[in-house]
Amino acid sequence: MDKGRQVVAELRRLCPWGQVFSGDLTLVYAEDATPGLGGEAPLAVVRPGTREEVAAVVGFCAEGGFGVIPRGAGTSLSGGVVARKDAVVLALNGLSRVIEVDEANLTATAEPGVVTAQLHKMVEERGLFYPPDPGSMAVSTLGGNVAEGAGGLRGLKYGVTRDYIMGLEMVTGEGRVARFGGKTVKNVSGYDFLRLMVGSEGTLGVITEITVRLLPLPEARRAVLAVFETIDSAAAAVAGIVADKVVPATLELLDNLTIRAVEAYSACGLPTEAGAVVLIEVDGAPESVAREGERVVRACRAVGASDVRVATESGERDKIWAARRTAVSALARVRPTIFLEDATVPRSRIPEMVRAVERIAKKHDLPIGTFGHAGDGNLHPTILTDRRDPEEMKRAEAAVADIFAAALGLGGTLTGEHGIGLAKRPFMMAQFGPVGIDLLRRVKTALDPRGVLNPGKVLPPASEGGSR
Amino acid sequence: MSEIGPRSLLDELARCMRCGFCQAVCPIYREEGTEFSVARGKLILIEALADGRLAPTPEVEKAIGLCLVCKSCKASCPSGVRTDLIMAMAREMLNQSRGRGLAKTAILKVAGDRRAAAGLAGLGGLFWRVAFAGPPTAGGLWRLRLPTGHYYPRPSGRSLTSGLRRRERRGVIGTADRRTNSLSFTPTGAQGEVLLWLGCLVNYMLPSLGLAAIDVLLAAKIRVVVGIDEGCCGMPRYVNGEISGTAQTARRNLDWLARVRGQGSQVASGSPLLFVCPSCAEAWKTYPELLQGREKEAAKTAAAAVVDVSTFLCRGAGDWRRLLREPPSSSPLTVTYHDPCHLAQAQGVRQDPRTLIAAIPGARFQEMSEPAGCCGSGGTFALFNAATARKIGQRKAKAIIATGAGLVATGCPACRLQLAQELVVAGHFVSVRHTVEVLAQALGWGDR
Repeated sequence: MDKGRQVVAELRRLCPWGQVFSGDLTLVYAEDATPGLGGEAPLAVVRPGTREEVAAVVGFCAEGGFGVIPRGAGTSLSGGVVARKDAVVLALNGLSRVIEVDEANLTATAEPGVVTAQLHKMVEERGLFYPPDPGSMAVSTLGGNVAEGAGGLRGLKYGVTRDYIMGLEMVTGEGRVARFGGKTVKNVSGYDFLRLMVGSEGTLGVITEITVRLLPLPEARRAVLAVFETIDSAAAAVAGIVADKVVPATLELLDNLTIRAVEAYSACGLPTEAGAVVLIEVDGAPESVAREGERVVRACRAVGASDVRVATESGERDKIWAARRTAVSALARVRPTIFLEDATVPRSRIPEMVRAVERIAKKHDLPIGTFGHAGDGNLHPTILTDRRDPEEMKRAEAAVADIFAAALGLGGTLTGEHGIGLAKRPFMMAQFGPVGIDLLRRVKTALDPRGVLNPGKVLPPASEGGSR
Repeated sequence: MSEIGPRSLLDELARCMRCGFCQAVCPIYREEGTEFSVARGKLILIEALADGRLAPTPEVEKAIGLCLVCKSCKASCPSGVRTDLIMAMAREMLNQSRGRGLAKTAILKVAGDRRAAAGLAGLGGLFWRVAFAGPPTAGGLWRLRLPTGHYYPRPSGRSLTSGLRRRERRGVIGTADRRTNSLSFTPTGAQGEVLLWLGCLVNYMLPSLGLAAIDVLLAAKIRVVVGIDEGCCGMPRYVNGEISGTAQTARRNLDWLARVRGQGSQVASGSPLLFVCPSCAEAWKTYPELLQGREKEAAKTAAAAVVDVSTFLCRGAGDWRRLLREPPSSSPLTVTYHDPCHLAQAQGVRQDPRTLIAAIPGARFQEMSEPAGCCGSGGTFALFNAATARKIGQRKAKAIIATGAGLVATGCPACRLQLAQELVVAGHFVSVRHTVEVLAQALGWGDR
């Protein structure tokens, strides 16, 4: 206990501009948006006020052997920031300055605690565009987006966070500061550290500054809502649109369960009787938007859409997309505990994946809502359960394992955008095998020799093999 | 404790799936940035308290108390978590285990008892110079002699309604009905009737607001019935966790309503229950949750009759709007509007007040940035969490000042007090008025 108090006193001394909390209140930093992982109240919570304080705290923890858990908005869906009692949570949402929007170089540089939607607003006011738009962007932080390799609705046409990171400043596991990349479009000096850091989930370094690439804001947008009687025909429409060489900015699928949950919350006019809907948005120059919009409508009709609506007013369009972003939380109205998976398959295998999920739902007798970024193969099968029913939670976990097996069997991956965290760690060996895991471990050791950064995340425990 | 007990508290808490979307709307999180300042974190603390993992230490209690009950999180929660209800239940739990402290007990005592409220108002009228320091500010506010820097209007010493008997408003004499403890104003050629609930803040601190509401309704040819010293709506008791006490208040108010609408009275059973205070309106809407059986049915009927004054004026016949006159000053009047949380977030009333203000000839409406951002008042919140309330209030004051408006309208007496105070602190004079006061003023311009 005394030792704990000493640690807190030292952290306070190191962070004159920040805040340090200990005691009962730290319990609220135990968990994130992932159910069933049982986090613990951390030793202390530090909200640094400057970047120098970040380096000082990490250095102190490395010396003392305390874990450091970097945290943004705490919206992780894989247990990425779940805490333990021997670690310090580093809450980075206080470092929230946008340092610069460089209109000549089309870049923006920001601290890690900047909220994604606020960066959007800021650059869009200048006619610029930062495309990555994870579902939680209204609260998620840029640092969290980089650490998790966040995706979003616009991944199909614009790619994901990884594709927009041009420069990073980071603190290593020993509390030293390094910078990689910058504002140049071309840059092949040294190894590609940026790609390594994106999706590293706080296990390789703490990100303290981010330079992102910007695009000109598309001049026009058009949203289309296509209604289908079955989820199979909706999946066929997705394939048909891409086969017609149209790449919409967004191509989202919602099954009946999700439609009803979202409509119950938002009342934005989704057809609650439909088997599935596909939401499509095309953007770009006005002429091409008009042309591509037509082709999308035709492709949907060709596979038997029962209704195709084009949102003409921007207010109507915004309402639909805002509603879509609440799908996960809205599904919690049906049952309170949500296992949201993001196993991803090559997009041509989407219809097979949809059928596999239906089989798994039947096998384990669980409601599974399916929605997500059908256009890029990243579906979100969502198991609806109740954490107060232990027997049902067991079935849910078995269903999750089956979903992973199905995705890997179709040539896919465990996670498209939510990360491995704690939740998917047990399945890593199945995806990478002993050699792959060994290489991942060696990278971790090189950057975080004392193993203090986000301990216990991403890599499977040594007992599962794969070490040298 | 009726149907609200520990079991249902855990059920309510289970709805939260921890998505954290409440961070986007919480005015306190915006200033504090800590996980325990936002609903998700508070629910984690409350759950741990309810199942015994955490003890109710002062630290935990303070964190849970740091909530404006502005209902923004409830309004935007995709999972349908009823944070306001949870907060009331949690505070009830804390009251039982720790007690409430002297200041809160005193405030709730006054709020729960009509005579105590009238008594305190009387004392305030006599001894206000002890509590307040002058000279008054440009808007006529006096500084409370506390280090918190609160500014209030000078207390009048008695309630609005007790002084309103046999008084004349817009040529109509008020008649009192002792049996139902109410006053009515019946204009010639009345085209409708309302029961107007004033609320304590209006009755004791902002009587001019109540008079303005009566004047505008009379101009619209609406018969107005008000309760004499109607008493508290129960909201302060409810948000501070006095759930069974609130049920008593609810019963008393519903009894009064039944008498006013009962046999032999001249009030139609279908006439709307009109509010100038959206928090009072919200209190009436929670009555059905607090009661059972026949009482619950009566509470549901009453809740269904609840209407905000701006919505009523917008929906009804609009002839009276022709009586609105241009402001006499040569320079144009620029008006902005602040959305009260309990009106915009909780009741969805956003457009009606703006429509009414726009009906005033010569007034130029200028929207402020984030008009629905909380003002930081939160009932007793500003008294007990002065520093946080000030940060929220100053953000609001800046947004108002940036519009260049000479007048800020709002639909809530508590917001009206808070905004006036924050503008004084910001050192910038802007008039603050309730929507009905703005309308009454514009009607008056025609008289002179």
